Amino acid sequence: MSVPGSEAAEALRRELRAWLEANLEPRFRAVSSALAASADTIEVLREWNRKVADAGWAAISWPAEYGGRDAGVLEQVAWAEEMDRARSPALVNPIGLSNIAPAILAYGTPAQKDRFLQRMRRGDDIWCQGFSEPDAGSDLASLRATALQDGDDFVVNGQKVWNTLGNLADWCELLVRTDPDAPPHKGISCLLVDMRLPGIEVRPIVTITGEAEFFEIFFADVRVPAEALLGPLHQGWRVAMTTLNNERGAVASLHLAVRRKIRDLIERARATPMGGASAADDPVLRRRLAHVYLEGELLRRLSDRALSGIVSQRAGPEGALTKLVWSQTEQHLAEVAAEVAGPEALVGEVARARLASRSYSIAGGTTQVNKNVVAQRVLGLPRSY
Amino acid sequence: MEFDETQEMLRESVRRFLAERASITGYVRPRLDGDGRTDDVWRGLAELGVCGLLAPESAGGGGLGMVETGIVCEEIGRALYPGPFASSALGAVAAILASGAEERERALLGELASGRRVGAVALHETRSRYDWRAVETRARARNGGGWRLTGVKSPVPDAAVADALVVSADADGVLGLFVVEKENAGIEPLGGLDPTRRLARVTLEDAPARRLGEGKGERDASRAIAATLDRIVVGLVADGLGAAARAFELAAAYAHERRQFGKPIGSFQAVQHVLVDMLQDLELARAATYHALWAADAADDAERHHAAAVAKAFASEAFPRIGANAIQVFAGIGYTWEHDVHLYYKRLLTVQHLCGDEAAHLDELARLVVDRAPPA
Ligand SMILES: Cc1cc2nc3c(=O)[nH]c(=O)nc-3n(C[C@H](O)[C@H](O)[C@H](O)COP(=O)(O)OP(=O)(O)OC[C@H]3O[C@@H](n4cnc5c(N)ncnc54)[C@H](O)[C@@H]3O)c2cc1C
Repeated sequence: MSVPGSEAAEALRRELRAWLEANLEPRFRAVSSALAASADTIEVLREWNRKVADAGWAAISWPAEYGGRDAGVLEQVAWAEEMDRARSPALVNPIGLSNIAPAILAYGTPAQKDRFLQRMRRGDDIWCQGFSEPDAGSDLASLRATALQDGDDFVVNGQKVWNTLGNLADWCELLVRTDPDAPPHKGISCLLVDMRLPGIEVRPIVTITGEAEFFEIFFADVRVPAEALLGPLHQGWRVAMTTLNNERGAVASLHLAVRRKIRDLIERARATPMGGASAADDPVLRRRLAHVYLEGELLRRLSDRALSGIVSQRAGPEGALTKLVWSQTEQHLAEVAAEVAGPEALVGEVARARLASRSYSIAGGTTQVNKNVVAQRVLGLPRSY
Repeated sequence: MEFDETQEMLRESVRRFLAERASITGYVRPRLDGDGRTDDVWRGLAELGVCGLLAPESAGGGGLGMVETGIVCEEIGRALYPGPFASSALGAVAAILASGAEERERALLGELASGRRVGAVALHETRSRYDWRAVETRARARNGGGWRLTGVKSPVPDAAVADALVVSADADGVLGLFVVEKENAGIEPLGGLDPTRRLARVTLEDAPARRLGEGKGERDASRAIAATLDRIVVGLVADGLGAAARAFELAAAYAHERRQFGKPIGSFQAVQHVLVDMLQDLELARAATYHALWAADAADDAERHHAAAVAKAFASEAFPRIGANAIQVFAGIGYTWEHDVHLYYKRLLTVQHLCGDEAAHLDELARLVVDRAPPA
């Protein structure tokens, strides 16, 4: 039995570590990710992103011709580990890099790749995903926004909702119905839409945290040029599914951030006074902390196994389970953090994180839908709906 | 982390052997009232070389590690095989090696490796619950060499079929590990809920014993005991992993076959989600177990211990849940003696409670990562 690793990954690790030590100035850590940024603070993040990209450290899995390093999955994991270790802020295009770029790489024309990929990598353009609609959530294929061909243009009408980064986005990967007469999955197309086009309106949605964390986007007779079509006409469902399926490399490093937060929580508990000792000494909290630590370790081992499965081409169910386990772990972490904080749990960052943690079992597909997918794809059971 | 080809072959050959020679219907069930003695199959396993995997080559063993041993445990759990592999080929051998007693106990090691004799390990006492440090059994040095042990060890797996027992005892304020021959110990089978894994109470009254590692190992055997227990713990978890995987597979297969309301029950979402929860528990346990097996061979003491605590804390939580969910999927038939699913459930309960339950291992984890800063 051996632990997956490679000389290439270790070389990359050393090089990146040295680069981060030399370049990651404290001021770049002011905002942790674009999701927490405002129109003002985003500039610092973009500056950091450009620095990372220009040194060749953004989107390393991409082909070299688009600024990547053709990095394999072990190198991607080493990259994620080093970025986490240095506490680097996230790149400004989380959705673009992990969800949209794979679809462009798979289906894009050379012109689309040239136009979009480098700018996405540098954070010059920020991307959002326009999939969900008020009446099409888990049942995404029932979406109703339309794009009708009119001369060389598509004319888009409809509404999208829950769009993360909708406020900052320059571009949107949009799913629209182009053939209203075809069965639901067969009449959808994928468009790459400039968010500055006339007829597009973005409105904030205030979430349970009290912040505008996502947005809704209204399209009224928006004329989108034909070259915006990504992949074949009416086959946008397939294009969108590449998008959603292409998170395997990231899956193997999902445990990093949550485990860091768990370690930070334990430190905080040790510094939180309670009954003459610390919250970490309380017998109940101590066991709860140990349990959430355990969950973090389990996620790490599951991710490792998913990774070694990928590397050795062993098909296993680990990847399909990672998001479920990750979301549960994040939510338990937020709950234990609140218990540790005591009355302080009702204010400040602990309170915000507690509320925000509810989204982990909704965004990117709900827990229930995730379980349906595992039941169907891994266990081969019939569809229940 | 993947098994190599030789390891996969080992798994394959043990699985095939047990399927042919120790099937549940033909072999395990007829022995449910037995004491765990399985002489013919045991000899067959020994001929496969399985009993000597962990023993050094100098004693006729394979000189291999916990990864190979764990593969065998997993297959044995999967087959619900009632024999004493985990106590003898794993536990007793590991105790001798951890005590630095390899040379002095070469004869015993050789007999354990060849399966001619069976060993069992008695570390826990009823009053100390899961704390192996709290030992009331006393060891007294005898004039002219040797020791005498007095105390009660319980529950001790496989003691009823053991020829030699490895026993922990307090020897003038430090812990020691001792070997007691069967005829010098009072052994009383405990019955208990799991008919595939036999437990006994071992009573020692001034029982003659020899000390493992005398003059060679450390005077205080705490480190040797901790190292032995970590290995027993991961072997136990691997046994449970095999049983849990089989229980899950049976339930998943039943969900395809059994029809109600004109459809397979596996088309009902409530049943699907139970199965997915089982799969999640199973795969997390698998990932933790394989890592702990690897760590027992390749990592330092601290990581070996940490990995064992992680694996056992979760196994003790998740295995009973997997077993219970399996019974729920089978429903009425699953509640019968006739159906096999209860046997898996019982095996999983054994794994839950032997050598520290969830609470005990969470407390141990807390000692490692909450009481002091957790490792990065
Ligand atoms: C923080 C956050 C960010 C998001 N970002 C984006 C984004 O950037 N772009 C975007 O397009 N979307 C985004 N979403 C939307 C997200 O993808 C949807 O919320 C999600 O797919 C669920 O759809 P819904 O909210 O309409 O719930 P519904 O589909 O209406 O579900 C309601 C309930 O019914 C259950 N349910 C539905 N169908 C089934 C079924 N077949 N079996 C069992 N249970 C079922 C669900 O599990 C849920 O509990 C985001 C959501 C959140 C919370």
